[in-house]
Amino acid sequence: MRGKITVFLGCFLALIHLYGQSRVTIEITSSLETKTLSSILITVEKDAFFEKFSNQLEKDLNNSGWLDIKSTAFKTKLNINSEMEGAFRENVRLLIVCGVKEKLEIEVYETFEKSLIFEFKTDIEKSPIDLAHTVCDEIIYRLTGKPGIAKSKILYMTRAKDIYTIMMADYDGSNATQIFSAEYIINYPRWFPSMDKVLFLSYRKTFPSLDLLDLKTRQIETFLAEPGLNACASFFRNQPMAAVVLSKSGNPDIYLVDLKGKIIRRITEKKGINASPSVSPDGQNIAFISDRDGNTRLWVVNPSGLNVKKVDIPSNYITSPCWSPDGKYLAYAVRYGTEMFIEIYDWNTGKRKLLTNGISWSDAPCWAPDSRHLIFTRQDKYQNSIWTIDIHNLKMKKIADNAWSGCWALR
Amino acid sequence: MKGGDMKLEKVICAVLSAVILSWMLSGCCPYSKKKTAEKEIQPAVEAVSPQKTAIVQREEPSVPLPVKPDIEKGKATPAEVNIAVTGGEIPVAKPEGEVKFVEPEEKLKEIFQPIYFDFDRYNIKTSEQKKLKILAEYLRNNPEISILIEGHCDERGSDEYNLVLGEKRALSARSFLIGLGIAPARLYTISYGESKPVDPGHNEEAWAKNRRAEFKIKQ
Repeated sequence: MRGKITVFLGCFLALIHLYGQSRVTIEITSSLETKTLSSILITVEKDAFFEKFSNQLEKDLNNSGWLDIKSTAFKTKLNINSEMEGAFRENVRLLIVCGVKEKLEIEVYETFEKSLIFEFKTDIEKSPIDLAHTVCDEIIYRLTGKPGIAKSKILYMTRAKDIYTIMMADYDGSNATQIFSAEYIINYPRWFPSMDKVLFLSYRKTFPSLDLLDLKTRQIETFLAEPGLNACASFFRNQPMAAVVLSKSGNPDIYLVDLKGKIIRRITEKKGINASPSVSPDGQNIAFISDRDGNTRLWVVNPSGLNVKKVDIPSNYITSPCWSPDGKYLAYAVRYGTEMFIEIYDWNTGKRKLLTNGISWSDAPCWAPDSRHLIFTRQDKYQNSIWTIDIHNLKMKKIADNAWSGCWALR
Repeated sequence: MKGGDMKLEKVICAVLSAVILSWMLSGCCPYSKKKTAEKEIQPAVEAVSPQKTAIVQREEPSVPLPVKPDIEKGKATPAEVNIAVTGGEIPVAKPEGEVKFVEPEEKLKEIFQPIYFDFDRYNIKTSEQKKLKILAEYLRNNPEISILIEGHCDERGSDEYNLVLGEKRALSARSFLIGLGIAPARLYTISYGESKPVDPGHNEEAWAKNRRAEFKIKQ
């Protein structure tokens, strides 16, 4: 009888503990929507490896936009309660502790209610940088429910004389490497859904086709080479197909193709330009640019060619739409006056938010997997560079000079 | 006698087939009328805010007319001319195998003049139509020549959108030439967007020169 009561009480207390944990996590998650959480990072190990790891983790957590790391420390002996007390006095909300046993053990504490809100273990990878990226993304995912960006890769274009090069880099522009160069025009690299290939526009065979580069074998194969223009691919997340622009009919229109480049159907049929499709994450809508009403504007159609709607934005020149991975926003380049800006449009409320100022000219936004950051091309004095921007705090970071057409991997 | 009947039968069959075929082609087919009627009652597209109900509109796939280029004479068929002048679609051609397009010789430069466009536009301006008429006359007199129409844009505007705009400019010039009787199979198009400016300047004068369609000759 006593045993049963003990088990019951144990379960009851565990449930209360879990409830407390989840309540604090939910409260933190919702507060992250509006403000950055100040945090302290403590690593319980000090050697060259963990110093690099700790430095990179601090950068990654700060770059995530969700957290603001006030300080980092190495402590071989740790009294969690006094650390939490100290953090609380400094108005720091989170305490992130990285300990090492057989694996790297991460514990995240909330200092106001002095509770452990989650913990996890991970294998110690060979590279401290990669390990920091992994840990950062896991913390962000557990706090926000959104994928982190630290492990994500970006693609972009660069050019030296007449050599065009596709570059691949870490999310912050580090570790940039050439993945393909050509003496003919190549442009607009996009991640293929399998992530082991890159799709890009290519003039390899005189006329513009869409080519695929296999990242392992470095082999090039033709994906789509219909007569006329083959361009502007946007992949579906939930179906093996893509929306592309083809001009085979004698007019640039949007078509759906499968992942072998076979045409499934044509979805726009209006005279004039139909371009730059971007497929919504649920695959139910395709945003695109058309001048069917006389000006270059943003429209949405479903994959059957039904429900054509114009998005109500007061500009006569809108281009480069890109749907956020959470489906909440459409980002696009828009001209107001004589300048081009990056703006986002809340799909549920219709509210717009201008992200860039008019001092430089901005184009080609592409979302990060966290639906919080965008990569875009910025032109200052006619020199292209690519930048990232946080849509909440508008912090910008330059990724590369002499570069354009950035594309963020969605995982 | 048997041979005579056979011949008569063949003649009757041929006449009947011709009558049926011409009746169908002349648009008396009830199916084609129905198609036209369906297209006419399409509702207009309306601008909507996200939470308003949208008017449902299907982008009715048009049935492209069969295009049969008269390559031997190098002339567009009357049907093709009609489609071109009414703004319809004529499928684009792609040359077989490896091909090369070259700049026209110096003596032909007067005939192969670039045409220019307004910002973010692809309509052929009245001032440029004369150049295309001169080119069309040359092509009519030289039916063995095929050309490449290159569409270009200035550096302003969106890079990827400019690629499509360049294609539309090339297609507009092609359509105009088909309307003047040049076979579509002799007219290839390509867009370079803003990647090949003729003037590297960053002012209106340079931009005006870069918004163009150029013409190359197929070797």
